[in-house]
Amino acid sequence: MNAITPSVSPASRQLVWFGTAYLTLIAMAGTLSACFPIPVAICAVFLFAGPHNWMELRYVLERLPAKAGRLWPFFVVSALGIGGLTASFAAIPWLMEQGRVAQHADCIWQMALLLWIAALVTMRSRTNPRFDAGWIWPVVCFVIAGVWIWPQYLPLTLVYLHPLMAIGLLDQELGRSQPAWRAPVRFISGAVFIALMVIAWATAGRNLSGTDQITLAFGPTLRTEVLSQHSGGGVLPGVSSYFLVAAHTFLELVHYGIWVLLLPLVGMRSQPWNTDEIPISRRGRTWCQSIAVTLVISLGLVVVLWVSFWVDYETTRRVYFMIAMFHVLAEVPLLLRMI
Amino acid sequence: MMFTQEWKLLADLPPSPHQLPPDIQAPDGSMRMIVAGVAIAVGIAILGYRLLKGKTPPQE
Repeated sequence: MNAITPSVSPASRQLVWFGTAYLTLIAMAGTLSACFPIPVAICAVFLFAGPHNWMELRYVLERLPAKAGRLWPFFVVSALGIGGLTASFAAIPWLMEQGRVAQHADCIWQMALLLWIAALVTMRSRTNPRFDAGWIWPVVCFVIAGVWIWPQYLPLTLVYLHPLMAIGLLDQELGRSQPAWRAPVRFISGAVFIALMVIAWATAGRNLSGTDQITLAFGPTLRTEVLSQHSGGGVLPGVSSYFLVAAHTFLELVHYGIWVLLLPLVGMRSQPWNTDEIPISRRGRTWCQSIAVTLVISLGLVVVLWVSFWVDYETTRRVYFMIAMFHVLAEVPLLLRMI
Repeated sequence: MMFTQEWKLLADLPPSPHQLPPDIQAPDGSMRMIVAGVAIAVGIAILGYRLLKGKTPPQE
Protein backbone atom coordinates (compact mmCIF):
# COMPACT_ATOMS: atom_id res chain seq x y z
CA MET A 1 0.00 0.00 0.00
CA ASN A 2 1.50 3.26 -1.09
CA ALA A 3 1.72 6.05 1.40
CA ILE A 4 -0.11 9.17 0.27
CA THR A 5 2.40 11.98 -0.02
CA PRO A 6 1.11 15.53 -0.40
CA SER A 7 2.31 17.07 -3.64
CA VAL A 8 4.19 20.30 -3.22
CA SER A 9 4.21 22.61 -6.21
CA PRO A 10 7.51 24.17 -7.32
CA ALA A 11 6.07 27.62 -6.50
CA SER A 12 5.32 26.56 -2.92
CA ARG A 13 8.79 25.07 -2.59
CA GLN A 14 10.31 28.35 -3.81
CA LEU A 15 8.25 30.25 -1.27
CA VAL A 16 9.45 27.94 1.52
CA TRP A 17 13.08 28.49 0.45
CA PHE A 18 12.56 32.24 0.22
CA GLY A 19 10.80 32.40 3.59
CA THR A 20 13.52 30.28 5.20
CA ALA A 21 16.23 32.55 3.77
CA TYR A 22 14.39 35.65 5.07
CA LEU A 23 13.84 34.15 8.53
CA THR A 24 17.47 32.99 8.71
CA LEU A 25 18.60 36.48 7.76
CA ILE A 26 16.50 38.02 10.54
CA ALA A 27 17.60 35.45 13.13
CA MET A 28 21.30 35.68 12.26
CA ALA A 29 21.27 39.47 12.04
CA GLY A 30 19.47 39.71 15.40
CA THR A 31 21.76 37.26 17.18
CA LEU A 32 24.99 38.74 15.83
CA SER A 33 23.89 42.33 16.49
CA ALA A 34 22.81 41.59 20.04
CA CYS A 35 25.98 39.65 20.89
CA PHE A 36 28.63 41.70 19.06
CA PRO A 37 27.11 45.07 18.08
CA ILE A 38 30.37 46.92 17.42
CA PRO A 39 32.34 44.38 15.37
CA VAL A 40 29.22 43.46 13.41
CA ALA A 41 28.42 47.13 12.73
CA ILE A 42 31.98 47.66 11.48
CA CYS A 43 32.06 44.51 9.33
CA ALA A 44 28.55 44.99 7.91
CA VAL A 45 29.29 48.48 6.59
CA PHE A 46 32.71 47.35 5.31
CA LEU A 47 31.32 44.34 3.44
CA PHE A 48 27.89 45.42 2.24
CA ALA A 49 27.76 49.23 1.97
CA GLY A 50 29.15 49.20 -1.59
CA PRO A 51 27.53 46.02 -2.94
CA HIS A 52 24.05 46.93 -1.70
CA ASN A 53 24.31 50.34 -3.39
CA TRP A 54 25.34 48.61 -6.62
CA MET A 55 22.42 46.20 -6.42
CA GLU A 56 20.10 49.12 -5.71
CA LEU A 57 21.38 50.97 -8.80
CA ARG A 58 20.92 47.83 -10.90
CA TYR A 59 17.39 47.36 -9.55
CA VAL A 60 16.43 51.00 -10.18
CA LEU A 61 17.75 50.80 -13.77
CA GLU A 62 15.54 47.78 -14.39
CA ARG A 63 12.53 49.62 -12.99
CA LEU A 64 13.00 52.84 -15.00
CA PRO A 65 10.74 53.01 -18.05
CA ALA A 66 12.38 53.22 -21.50
CA LYS A 67 10.68 56.58 -22.04
CA ALA A 68 9.51 58.87 -19.26
CA GLY A 69 6.49 60.13 -21.21
CA ARG A 70 3.97 61.80 -18.88
CA LEU A 71 6.15 60.90 -15.89
CA TRP A 72 8.82 63.46 -16.91
CA PRO A 73 7.86 66.02 -14.20
CA PHE A 74 8.00 63.30 -11.52
CA PHE A 75 11.46 62.17 -12.64
CA VAL A 76 12.76 65.75 -12.90
CA VAL A 77 11.53 66.66 -9.39
CA SER A 78 12.94 63.37 -8.07
CA ALA A 79 16.37 63.97 -9.64
CA LEU A 80 16.53 67.61 -8.53
CA GLY A 81 15.56 66.65 -4.99
CA ILE A 82 18.01 63.75 -4.76
CA GLY A 83 20.92 65.82 -6.14
CA GLY A 84 20.12 69.07 -4.34
CA LEU A 85 19.34 67.53 -0.97
CA THR A 86 22.44 65.31 -1.05
CA ALA A 87 24.71 68.25 -1.92
CA SER A 88 23.15 70.52 0.69
CA PHE A 89 23.31 67.73 3.31
CA ALA A 90 27.05 67.47 2.73
CA ALA A 91 27.34 71.27 3.10
CA ILE A 92 25.39 71.51 6.40
CA PRO A 93 28.43 71.28 8.75
CA TRP A 94 30.12 74.13 6.81
CA LEU A 95 26.93 76.20 6.46
CA MET A 96 26.16 76.08 10.17
CA GLU A 97 29.37 77.94 10.94
CA GLN A 98 28.57 80.81 8.55
CA GLY A 99 25.94 83.00 10.18
CA ARG A 100 22.66 83.37 12.02
CA VAL A 101 20.34 82.05 9.31
CA ALA A 102 22.89 79.41 8.32
CA GLN A 103 22.82 78.16 11.92
CA HIS A 104 19.39 76.82 11.05
CA ALA A 105 20.67 75.04 7.94
CA ASP A 106 19.78 71.67 9.46
CA CYS A 107 16.14 72.71 10.00
CA ILE A 108 15.93 74.27 6.53
CA TRP A 109 17.32 71.05 5.04
CA GLN A 110 14.81 68.90 6.90
CA MET A 111 11.99 71.24 5.84
CA ALA A 112 13.13 71.02 2.19
CA LEU A 113 13.21 67.23 2.47
CA LEU A 114 9.64 67.11 3.80
CA LEU A 115 8.33 69.53 1.15
CA TRP A 116 10.08 67.47 -1.56
CA ILE A 117 8.43 64.27 -0.29
CA ALA A 118 5.03 66.01 -0.17
CA ALA A 119 5.49 67.25 -3.75
CA LEU A 120 6.40 63.74 -4.93
CA VAL A 121 3.42 62.17 -3.12
CA THR A 122 1.11 64.76 -4.72
CA MET A 123 2.56 64.14 -8.20
CA ARG A 124 2.36 60.38 -7.70
CA SER A 125 -1.29 60.65 -6.61
CA ARG A 126 -2.16 62.17 -10.00
CA THR A 127 -1.02 59.12 -11.98
CA ASN A 128 -2.62 55.66 -11.96
CA PRO A 129 -3.47 54.12 -9.58
CA ARG A 130 -4.68 57.49 -8.25
CA PHE A 131 -5.37 58.32 -4.62
CA ASP A 132 -6.31 61.28 -2.50
CA ALA A 133 -3.04 62.91 -1.35
CA GLY A 134 -4.45 66.15 0.04
CA TRP A 135 -3.69 64.95 3.58
CA ILE A 136 0.07 65.06 2.94
CA TRP A 137 0.35 68.88 3.12
CA PRO A 138 -1.17 69.44 6.59
CA VAL A 139 0.78 66.42 7.88
CA VAL A 140 4.02 67.82 6.45
CA CYS A 141 3.27 71.26 7.96
CA PHE A 142 2.86 69.71 11.42
CA VAL A 143 6.05 67.66 11.00
CA ILE A 144 7.89 70.82 9.87
CA ALA A 145 6.73 72.51 13.09
CA GLY A 146 8.16 69.57 15.02
CA VAL A 147 11.42 69.80 13.08
CA TRP A 148 11.90 73.46 14.10
CA ILE A 149 11.13 72.74 17.74
CA TRP A 150 13.04 69.44 18.04
CA PRO A 151 15.51 69.34 15.12
CA GLN A 152 17.32 66.28 16.40
CA TYR A 153 14.54 63.71 15.95
CA LEU A 154 13.89 63.65 12.18
CA PRO A 155 17.50 62.73 11.28
CA LEU A 156 17.33 59.98 13.89
CA THR A 157 14.00 58.80 12.45
CA LEU A 158 15.63 58.65 9.00
CA VAL A 159 18.49 56.56 10.40
CA TYR A 160 16.00 53.93 11.59
CA LEU A 161 13.37 54.36 8.86
CA HIS A 162 15.76 53.90 5.97
CA PRO A 163 16.55 50.23 6.75
CA LEU A 164 12.82 49.59 7.12
CA MET A 165 12.16 51.06 3.66
CA ALA A 166 13.83 47.97 2.19
CA ILE A 167 11.06 45.89 3.79
CA GLY A 168 8.47 48.15 2.13
CA LEU A 169 10.22 47.82 -1.23
CA LEU A 170 10.38 44.04 -0.89
CA ASP A 171 6.66 44.01 -0.14
CA GLN A 172 5.88 46.13 -3.21
CA GLU A 173 8.13 44.00 -5.39
CA LEU A 174 6.35 40.83 -4.24
CA GLY A 175 3.05 42.51 -5.06
CA ARG A 176 4.27 42.81 -8.66
CA SER A 177 6.24 39.64 -9.22
CA GLN A 178 4.93 37.09 -6.68
CA PRO A 179 1.54 38.27 -5.35
CA ALA A 180 0.84 34.90 -3.70
CA TRP A 181 3.97 35.29 -1.55
CA ARG A 182 3.04 38.70 -0.24
CA ALA A 183 0.93 37.68 2.76
CA PRO A 184 3.31 35.01 4.15
CA VAL A 185 6.35 37.25 3.61
CA ARG A 186 4.57 40.12 5.40
CA PHE A 187 4.09 37.72 8.30
CA ILE A 188 7.83 36.99 8.30
CA SER A 189 8.62 40.74 8.11
CA GLY A 190 6.76 41.03 11.42
CA ALA A 191 9.59 38.97 12.91
CA VAL A 192 11.85 42.01 12.46
CA PHE A 193 9.86 43.88 15.11
CA ILE A 194 9.75 40.81 17.37
CA ALA A 195 13.53 40.53 17.00
CA LEU A 196 13.87 44.21 17.98
CA MET A 197 11.88 43.53 21.15
CA VAL A 198 14.06 40.49 21.92
CA ILE A 199 17.20 42.60 21.40
CA ALA A 200 15.76 45.26 23.74
CA TRP A 201 15.10 42.60 26.36
CA ALA A 202 18.49 40.93 25.92
CA THR A 203 20.45 44.18 26.05
CA ALA A 204 18.46 45.91 28.79
CA GLY A 205 20.69 47.90 31.11
CA ARG A 206 23.86 47.25 29.11
CA ASN A 207 25.96 50.14 27.94
CA LEU A 208 28.89 50.41 25.59
CA SER A 209 31.36 51.11 28.32
CA GLY A 210 34.32 51.29 25.98
CA THR A 211 36.32 49.06 28.29
CA ASP A 212 35.03 45.62 27.36
CA GLN A 213 37.31 43.35 25.33
CA ILE A 214 35.35 43.65 22.08
CA THR A 215 35.24 47.42 22.14
CA LEU A 216 38.92 47.63 23.04
CA ALA A 217 39.81 45.24 20.23
CA PHE A 218 38.02 47.42 17.69
CA GLY A 219 38.72 50.72 19.42
CA PRO A 220 41.57 51.76 17.13
CA THR A 221 39.35 51.11 14.08
CA LEU A 222 36.36 53.19 15.08
CA ARG A 223 35.36 55.11 18.14
CA THR A 224 32.44 53.56 20.00
CA GLU A 225 30.94 57.02 20.48
CA VAL A 226 30.63 57.46 16.71
CA LEU A 227 28.46 54.35 16.42
CA SER A 228 26.50 55.30 19.51
CA GLN A 229 25.89 58.86 18.22
CA HIS A 230 24.87 57.58 14.80
CA SER A 231 22.32 55.29 16.46
CA GLY A 232 20.87 58.10 18.55
CA GLY A 233 22.93 57.81 21.72
CA GLY A 234 23.19 61.60 22.12
CA VAL A 235 19.51 62.23 21.38
CA LEU A 236 18.05 59.44 23.52
CA PRO A 237 20.17 59.57 26.68
CA GLY A 238 17.73 57.42 28.65
CA VAL A 239 18.04 54.49 26.25
CA SER A 240 20.86 51.95 26.54
CA SER A 241 23.57 52.82 24.01
CA TYR A 242 24.22 49.09 23.67
CA PHE A 243 20.62 48.55 22.57
CA LEU A 244 20.71 51.50 20.15
CA VAL A 245 23.85 50.28 18.39
CA ALA A 246 22.59 46.67 18.38
CA ALA A 247 19.16 47.68 17.04
CA HIS A 248 20.61 49.89 14.32
CA THR A 249 23.16 47.25 13.34
CA PHE A 250 20.37 44.65 13.17
CA LEU A 251 18.19 46.83 10.94
CA GLU A 252 21.13 47.68 8.69
CA LEU A 253 21.97 43.98 8.32
CA VAL A 254 18.37 43.17 7.38
CA HIS A 255 18.43 46.09 4.93
CA TYR A 256 21.65 44.87 3.32
CA GLY A 257 20.34 41.29 3.21
CA ILE A 258 17.15 42.35 1.46
CA TRP A 259 19.03 44.36 -1.18
CA VAL A 260 21.86 41.91 -1.78
CA LEU A 261 19.98 38.61 -1.43
CA LEU A 262 16.17 38.76 -1.33
CA LEU A 263 15.26 41.48 -3.84
CA PRO A 264 17.53 40.03 -6.56
CA LEU A 265 15.85 36.63 -6.00
CA VAL A 266 12.37 37.95 -6.76
CA GLY A 267 12.87 41.30 -8.48
CA MET A 268 15.49 40.79 -11.16
CA ARG A 269 14.42 39.50 -14.54
CA SER A 270 18.00 38.72 -15.62
CA GLN A 271 21.52 38.27 -14.25
CA PRO A 272 22.90 41.50 -12.76
CA TRP A 273 25.51 41.84 -15.54
CA ASN A 274 22.95 41.28 -18.30
CA THR A 275 21.65 44.65 -19.49
CA ASP A 276 19.13 43.26 -22.00
CA GLU A 277 16.26 43.42 -19.51
CA ILE A 278 16.93 47.07 -18.66
CA PRO A 279 14.25 49.03 -20.57
CA ILE A 280 16.44 52.12 -21.24
CA SER A 281 19.10 49.97 -22.91
CA ARG A 282 16.53 49.01 -25.58
CA ARG A 283 16.45 52.60 -26.81
CA GLY A 284 19.61 52.09 -28.82
CA ARG A 285 23.21 51.01 -28.86
CA THR A 286 24.48 54.20 -27.17
CA TRP A 287 22.04 53.80 -24.30
CA CYS A 288 22.97 50.15 -23.90
CA GLN A 289 26.68 50.99 -23.80
CA SER A 290 26.09 53.86 -21.36
CA ILE A 291 24.24 51.54 -18.99
CA ALA A 292 27.02 48.95 -19.20
CA VAL A 293 29.70 51.60 -18.56
CA THR A 294 27.70 52.99 -15.60
CA LEU A 295 27.45 49.53 -14.06
CA VAL A 296 31.16 48.81 -14.57
CA ILE A 297 32.20 52.20 -13.10
CA SER A 298 29.87 51.60 -10.14
CA LEU A 299 31.45 48.21 -9.61
CA GLY A 300 34.85 49.93 -9.59
CA LEU A 301 33.54 52.34 -6.95
CA VAL A 302 32.53 49.37 -4.79
CA VAL A 303 36.14 48.15 -4.92
CA VAL A 304 37.44 51.67 -4.18
CA LEU A 305 35.11 51.81 -1.17
CA TRP A 306 36.44 48.49 0.13
CA VAL A 307 40.06 49.67 -0.25
CA SER A 308 39.24 53.01 1.42
CA PHE A 309 37.57 51.26 4.36
CA TRP A 310 40.65 49.09 4.69
CA VAL A 311 43.02 52.07 4.66
CA ASP A 312 41.04 54.49 6.88
CA TYR A 313 37.81 53.09 8.21
CA GLU A 314 36.52 56.04 10.22
CA THR A 315 37.09 58.73 7.57
CA THR A 316 35.63 56.50 4.84
CA ARG A 317 32.63 55.71 7.01
CA ARG A 318 32.01 59.41 7.62
CA VAL A 319 32.30 60.27 3.93
CA TYR A 320 30.23 57.24 2.94
CA PHE A 321 27.31 58.10 5.22
CA MET A 322 27.34 61.65 3.87
CA ILE A 323 27.20 60.50 0.23
CA ALA A 324 24.89 57.60 1.07
CA MET A 325 22.16 60.19 1.59
CA PHE A 326 21.88 59.96 -2.21
CA HIS A 327 20.57 56.39 -2.12
CA VAL A 328 18.42 57.05 0.97
CA LEU A 329 16.64 59.81 -0.97
CA ALA A 330 16.49 57.77 -4.20
CA GLU A 331 14.41 55.15 -2.41
CA VAL A 332 11.60 57.68 -1.81
CA PRO A 333 10.53 58.16 -5.48
CA LEU A 334 11.29 54.47 -6.14
CA LEU A 335 8.92 53.37 -3.39
CA LEU A 336 6.29 55.90 -4.49
CA ARG A 337 6.40 54.68 -8.09
CA MET A 338 5.96 51.10 -6.92
CA ILE A 339 2.83 51.83 -4.85
CA MET B 1 51.50 52.71 24.46
CA MET B 2 50.83 52.37 20.78
CA PHE B 3 47.16 51.72 21.48
CA THR B 4 46.85 54.80 23.71
CA GLN B 5 48.34 57.01 21.01
CA GLU B 6 45.97 55.71 18.35
CA TRP B 7 43.03 56.17 20.68
CA LYS B 8 44.04 59.76 21.34
CA LEU B 9 44.41 60.47 17.63
CA LEU B 10 40.96 59.12 16.93
CA ALA B 11 39.47 61.10 19.77
CA ASP B 12 40.81 64.30 18.20
CA LEU B 13 39.03 63.75 14.90
CA PRO B 14 36.21 66.18 14.04
CA PRO B 15 32.68 64.92 14.70
CA SER B 16 30.68 63.10 12.03
CA PRO B 17 28.26 65.24 10.00
CA HIS B 18 25.52 63.02 11.39
CA GLN B 19 26.35 64.26 14.87
CA LEU B 20 24.35 67.36 15.65
CA PRO B 21 26.37 70.08 17.36
CA PRO B 22 25.19 70.56 20.96
CA ASP B 23 23.91 74.11 20.36
CA ILE B 24 21.23 73.04 17.88
CA GLN B 25 19.84 70.46 20.26
CA ALA B 26 18.47 73.27 22.36
CA PRO B 27 15.99 75.52 20.53
CA ASP B 28 16.89 79.20 20.77
CA GLY B 29 13.25 80.06 21.36
CA SER B 30 12.86 82.79 18.75
CA MET B 31 13.26 82.00 15.08
CA ARG B 32 12.61 78.29 15.52
CA MET B 33 9.40 78.91 17.46
CA ILE B 34 8.16 81.51 14.94
CA VAL B 35 8.68 79.16 11.98
CA ALA B 36 7.07 76.30 13.92
CA GLY B 37 4.07 78.50 14.69
CA VAL B 38 3.70 79.53 11.06
CA ALA B 39 3.91 75.87 9.96
CA ILE B 40 1.20 74.86 12.45
CA ALA B 41 -1.01 77.74 11.29
CA VAL B 42 -0.57 76.78 7.63
CA GLY B 43 -1.26 73.12 8.48
CA ILE B 44 -4.48 74.00 10.32
CA ALA B 45 -5.53 76.32 7.47
CA ILE B 46 -5.03 73.56 4.85
CA LEU B 47 -6.81 71.04 7.07
CA GLY B 48 -9.71 73.45 7.61
CA TYR B 49 -9.94 74.15 3.89
CA ARG B 50 -10.07 70.43 3.14
CA LEU B 51 -12.76 69.83 5.74
CA LEU B 52 -14.88 72.76 4.52
CA LYS B 53 -14.43 71.86 0.86
CA GLY B 54 -15.17 68.19 1.44
CA LYS B 55 -13.14 65.26 0.20
CA THR B 56 -13.11 64.90 -3.56
CA PRO B 57 -12.54 61.43 -4.99
CA PRO B 58 -9.42 61.04 -7.15
CA GLN B 59 -10.19 61.38 -10.86
CA GLU B 60 -9.37 58.44 -13.11
